[in-house]
Amino acid sequence: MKKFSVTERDIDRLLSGRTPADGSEARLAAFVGSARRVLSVPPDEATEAAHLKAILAAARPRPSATILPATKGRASGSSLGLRIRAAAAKVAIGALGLTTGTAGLAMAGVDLPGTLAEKAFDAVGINLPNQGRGHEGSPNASETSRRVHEAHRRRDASMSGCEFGASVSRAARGLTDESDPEHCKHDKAKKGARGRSGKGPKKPPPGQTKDHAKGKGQDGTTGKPDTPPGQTKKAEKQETEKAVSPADEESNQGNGGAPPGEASTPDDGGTAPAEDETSKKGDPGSNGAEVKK
Amino acid sequence: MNAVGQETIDGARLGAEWAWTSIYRGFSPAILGFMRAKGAHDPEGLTGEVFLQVVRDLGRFSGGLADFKAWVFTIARNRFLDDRRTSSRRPATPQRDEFLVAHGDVGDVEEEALRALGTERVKELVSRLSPDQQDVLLLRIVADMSLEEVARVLDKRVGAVKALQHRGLASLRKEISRGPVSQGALAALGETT
Repeated sequence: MKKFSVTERDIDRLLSGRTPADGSEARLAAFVGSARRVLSVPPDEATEAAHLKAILAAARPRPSATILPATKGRASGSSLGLRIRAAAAKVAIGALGLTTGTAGLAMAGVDLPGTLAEKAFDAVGINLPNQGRGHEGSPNASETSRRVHEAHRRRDASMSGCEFGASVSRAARGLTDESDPEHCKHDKAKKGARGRSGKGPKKPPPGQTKDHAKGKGQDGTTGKPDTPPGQTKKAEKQETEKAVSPADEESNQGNGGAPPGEASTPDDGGTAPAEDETSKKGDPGSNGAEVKK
Repeated sequence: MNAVGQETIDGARLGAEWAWTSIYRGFSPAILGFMRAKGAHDPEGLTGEVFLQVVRDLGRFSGGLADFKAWVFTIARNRFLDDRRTSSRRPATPQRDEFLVAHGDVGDVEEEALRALGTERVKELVSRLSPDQQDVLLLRIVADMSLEEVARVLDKRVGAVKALQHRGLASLRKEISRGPVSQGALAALGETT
């Protein structure tokens, strides 16, 4: 059989059912022409009527949605409403997720930072579980807080850290008597020594370790920062026993000036204000005599 | 198909009855012929579905008349492929006599028989081509589309469409020139023309 070799123009003629110019491929042209006629028959009347009925029913413009040509990018009224509703739904879902997440964290035992979340939940009558509310729940809390704030306000510029701490401690415990003048003697002596040496507070005095200078015991329990240089252990013990008083327990914490909120707020459960801090926190600032007990 | 112009498309967007009637009458013979030649189980039903999808998606269409033609035949081809996929998964159920009578061709019995015979022969010869060759030749012959329009419908390059067209015609020529089937087909076609 001859190879099928026709030009583009011949192909166009063949596809329209005509033979190429040279008269070749007559059978192929006849087939294409016949196929064109056979396959291009319109549907019968019944089918056409049924199709047109369905098409017109589907194409009928609805009152709510008008088909506007060439309105790309312009939102119709209904689509704008849909978008607003979708945005509102997203916000609602986000808020619900946040609330559920916060509540879930609280249920899981996470102490949520700040009181904002707790207040928000309180406002709608939901109590978040596992949240630290001891300070607020105590009946004496507001009174103790007021006393401590008062003590803080009354702070004198000449007051040493020890004295200030002692005054805050007394205020927290509701004691009204004056502080023991002997109690902060060692603090004043230390101040004097610093003044004489003219050096910064970090430099330990001769014969004293760095930890002593910082007010930290060697074993981490005594918290005796003020052993004079060259003093023996026995003398130290005597000094300690002499100086033991309820006020000392608080005054020896750190630099003696604990933040008012922490020093003054008793724990929940109605314990006496003087007892709870030392008994619960492992007594980091108590003196050596008490540790020995 | 020449009756369909830009104003017809604009009228159809507004839901005008005359526009949809014109579009249906302009495109339905070619779509139906395409479905028949491809061997669709229910060519008339598929043709109706194609137009319903055109109605649904016309709001998203943008372009001129040539684009519209290519777009409509893209829908037709996709509907056929969907139908082929779903029908291959479901077993064929025989139709009842009442259905066949109601949906059968009406008119001159002899003419209908000859036409059916011609259609069957065309289907038989076309079915020997590859699916891509079938698509190219049917869109060129039945839908009267240019090479560029066919390329757009099939999402191919014009060069690829040209090659498919040439190979398809060569295969048809080979089938026509050999064997009793092709002779019978030609005879049937000759009787119908």
